[in-house]
Amino acid sequence: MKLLYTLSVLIIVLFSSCQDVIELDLPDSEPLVVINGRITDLDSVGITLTSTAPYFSQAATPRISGATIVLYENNDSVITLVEDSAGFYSAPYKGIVGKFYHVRVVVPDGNPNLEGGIWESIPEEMKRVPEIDSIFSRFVVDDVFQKDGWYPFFSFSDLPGLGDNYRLRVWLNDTAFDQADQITTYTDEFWDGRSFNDADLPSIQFTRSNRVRGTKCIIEQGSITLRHLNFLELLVTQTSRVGSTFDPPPAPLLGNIRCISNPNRTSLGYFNTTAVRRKVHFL
Amino acid sequence: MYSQQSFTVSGTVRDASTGEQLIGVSIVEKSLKKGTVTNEYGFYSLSLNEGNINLTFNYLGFEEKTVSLGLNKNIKFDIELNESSEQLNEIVVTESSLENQVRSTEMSVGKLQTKEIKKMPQLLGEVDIIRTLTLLPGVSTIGEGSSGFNVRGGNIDQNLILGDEAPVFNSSHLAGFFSVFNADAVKEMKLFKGGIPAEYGGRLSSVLDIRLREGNSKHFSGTGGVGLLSSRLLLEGPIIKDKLSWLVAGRRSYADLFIRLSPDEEINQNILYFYDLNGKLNYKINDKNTVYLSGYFGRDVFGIQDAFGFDWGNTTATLRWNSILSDKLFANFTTVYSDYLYTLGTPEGEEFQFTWNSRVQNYVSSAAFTWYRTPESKVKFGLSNTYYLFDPALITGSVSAQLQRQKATEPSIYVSTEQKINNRLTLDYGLRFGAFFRMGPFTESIYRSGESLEDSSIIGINQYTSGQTIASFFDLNGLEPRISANYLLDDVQSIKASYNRTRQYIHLISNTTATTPIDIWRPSGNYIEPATADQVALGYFRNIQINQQKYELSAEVYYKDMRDVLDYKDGADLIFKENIETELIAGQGRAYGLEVLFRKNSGRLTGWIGYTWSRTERLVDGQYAGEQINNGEWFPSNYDKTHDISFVATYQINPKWDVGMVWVFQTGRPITYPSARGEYEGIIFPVYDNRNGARTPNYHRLDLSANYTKEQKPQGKWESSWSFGLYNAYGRRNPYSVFFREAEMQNYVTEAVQLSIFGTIIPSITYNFTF
Repeated sequence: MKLLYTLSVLIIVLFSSCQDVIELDLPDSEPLVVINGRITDLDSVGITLTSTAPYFSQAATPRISGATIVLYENNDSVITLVEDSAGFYSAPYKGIVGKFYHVRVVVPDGNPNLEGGIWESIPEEMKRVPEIDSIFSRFVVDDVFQKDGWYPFFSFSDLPGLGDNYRLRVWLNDTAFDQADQITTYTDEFWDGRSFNDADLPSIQFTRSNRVRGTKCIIEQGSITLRHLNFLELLVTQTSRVGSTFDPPPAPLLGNIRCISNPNRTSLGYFNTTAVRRKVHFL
Repeated sequence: MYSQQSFTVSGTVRDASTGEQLIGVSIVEKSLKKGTVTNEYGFYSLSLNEGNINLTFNYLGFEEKTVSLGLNKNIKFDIELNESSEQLNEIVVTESSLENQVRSTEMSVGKLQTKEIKKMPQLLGEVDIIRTLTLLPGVSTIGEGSSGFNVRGGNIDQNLILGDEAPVFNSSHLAGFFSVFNADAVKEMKLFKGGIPAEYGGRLSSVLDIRLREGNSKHFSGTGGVGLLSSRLLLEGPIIKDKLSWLVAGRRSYADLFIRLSPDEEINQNILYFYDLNGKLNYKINDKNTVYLSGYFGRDVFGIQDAFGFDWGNTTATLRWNSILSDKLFANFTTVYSDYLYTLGTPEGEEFQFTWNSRVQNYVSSAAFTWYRTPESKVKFGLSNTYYLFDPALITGSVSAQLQRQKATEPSIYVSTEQKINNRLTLDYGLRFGAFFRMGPFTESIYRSGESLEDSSIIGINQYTSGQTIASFFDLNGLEPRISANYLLDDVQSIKASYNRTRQYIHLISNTTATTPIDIWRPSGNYIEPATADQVALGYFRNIQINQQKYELSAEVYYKDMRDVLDYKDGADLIFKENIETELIAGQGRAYGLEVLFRKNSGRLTGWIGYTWSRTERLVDGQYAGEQINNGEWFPSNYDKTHDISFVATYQINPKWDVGMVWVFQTGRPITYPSARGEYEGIIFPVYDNRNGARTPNYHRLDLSANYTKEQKPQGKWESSWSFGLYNAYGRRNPYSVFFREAEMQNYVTEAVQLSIFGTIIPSITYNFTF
């Protein structure tokens, strides 16, 4: 929770805390497969296949080429992904809300930095997603959190019934706001079935940066599973909520990937099934 | 056979200057070699054969008094002792004193006197009893700025912290930097690390019993201070002399004034302070009956200007009635209300407004009796019930939601006997029986059997009506035997041993490094077992005299086994969670170690050297996938510090000046290093596979203090002093943690960062006064 992080940092700053970058030798470990992919109801399916690397390797992690990746819909294989560039695989296939999707990844032996094997994601349902009702700008007067200026808002109506989980993504002038501390997820547990343009539930302001008029704003709201929401929250806490007295315990970033050929092999990452809605607005 | 008749002398021992009851005064009939010790209310009772007796009253820091009495009937004898007038005089605890560490059956006990603590160096000059407690062997913390304390490998929620018998759920202000107890108001504190007497229950690892002062029953007086962090004031006095007295004490911090000086906008718009209030009223109805009313209220307040507010704190209220039912039977009846709550939210009138409340409430009622059967045997017995209300979360405003209230009750009974078997052997043996019942109304999830508890494995619900029992723990597992023995080798040395079982039915749900103010307590139930601990300890105690200076030496070894201690699944999310059991796993703990303490309590130079060697480890090996930590192997707990040395000294140079120092050394605490990096959506994340497999660098710190007491004018009542301090005097950047992150603005570059809470020397100056 960001609030606690802020509180802790504030208290320790009060006592003149300091942070020093230190040199550490960390032992190397056996590389693990990391799967990062998604299927939506609007776009092509895409997967980036990488392996882990020494923590201080200070470069992008190795891409895994030459894998065979097959997409399954309701447990039937529907299409094989093609490697467009090193480690990036895609296929022109869109999902349908209500159906289950998973991928099977086969990495042949002989890969330079990784032992071969077979991986599968746990099948996940493409959940319903409501339309975005509106996206608009509004002048906001100076307050604690932001300066005077025009800011973009959006609104939608949550569908009745608990259990809708969302991820919001934002692009401003085609720059993605997708750093770890910008990942935004939420559930409907506090406002199930309600509309975000009512008198008592205001529209959602989706950026606090002071924006210039004319800025192109794109938002994408996607439905995600609870498991994916937990995965993203873990990614956020493990990477951007550290350095306070309230640090979360370190934990492996396990998602929905399993190694079929050897169940004892730890596998990381996520193949995410999401229905998305986007809207563009010029501030 | 002619049998001599026996009579009882009993009464209350008080401080002559304030009328405060004195706890732990030794009363000895030297020629008969019989004696006793005053209880928590200054009461004593001693049965002796008919005849003339000489009773010697002895208490550390007070003048010894011997009185002759003709004992031909039961006598009520109250006495007042005078504080040793000349501070520099040797204050001696005589060998015959029953409170000396060699003779007492207590072991694994840490005691500190407020007077002593006040001379020691303190962070920002804030006299802090809990921070000082961590300088004793066997007591540690994760690091600076972590709430609470760890005793012999126990988690911070395993300490029963009692302020005038009221359980205190959160013992820290500013999320761990300062204790909620105002040292001025504290009379006596005692920490049981082991050998926990049968009258205490409900927590696994320790009991911190803090008794607050009653208030001066002789005349009006006050004490206070102005420091860099906070100011404090205590006022006390009689309403009816020697009969009705009162005390109020308050503190308020103003650290947020410093925050506003910060040029950083992220920081200077914040509000952060704490305050607390203690109040007490005592009424001595007659020689045999006294009632006490005491209360505590404390809050921490954090805000971002007026746009957001967050406050938290404890409230306690205690009503006690002491009654001397007969010369040999002392009774104490107590009712307590205690709560911990936090509230956060945005102010009313905002477009998006919400308030989030969470609270745990506690109603304790108890009756405790002490029967002074013979000088050789003292029997304690009693019963108690604690009623709990847990309100984990209630959200109102633009959005609303609520977690269900949980109700529980925890009754217990106990009996224990302290018995002098012969001149060498004393036993203290007792048995406690506790039970725990969860009651409706409540709607509980049912999970598919043979699987890990997950939201996805819920197959139904059980609906419990009001008052219906949801879960009960009422069986032989509730028996908690407590035994300790003291075997005197000779007048100056003894061997002690103890065994105790403790059981804990409520749990603090927290998985962050230091616990946070929003961590909540939850009861045991169908999916959360009570935790159980067994501890054995063996100790050697010796009083040493070198050049007429008295020293105490003690060495103890212990082993503690803990079962059903809560741990958390990897990546557990504990906030606003109705089915909290889906995030938990039961683990085991074990802790063992050696504690050595060499201490000097009297003279110009006082202090101690403490050394602890210890191990504290956890095992989390659940049945199902995702329920293991470190592949189900033992791993060190966050607060496992192999070596822990503390050196504490205060020295009275002359009546005006005294100086103090503290030096501590601790092995670095366990932390987790990543074994690799992975990448997801272009974000580099650390890969962890070995929990607590590494350690921070070692910790060491020197603190210095000097106190200047202004010479008192002959007639003047006003007395003042200045305290100067340097915390972290050689400015070491001690590591709190090492964490891993992506460097700012540099893609794919990662760094290891050491966080030091105190980056520099922290000086302090405090003005203190009494009148």
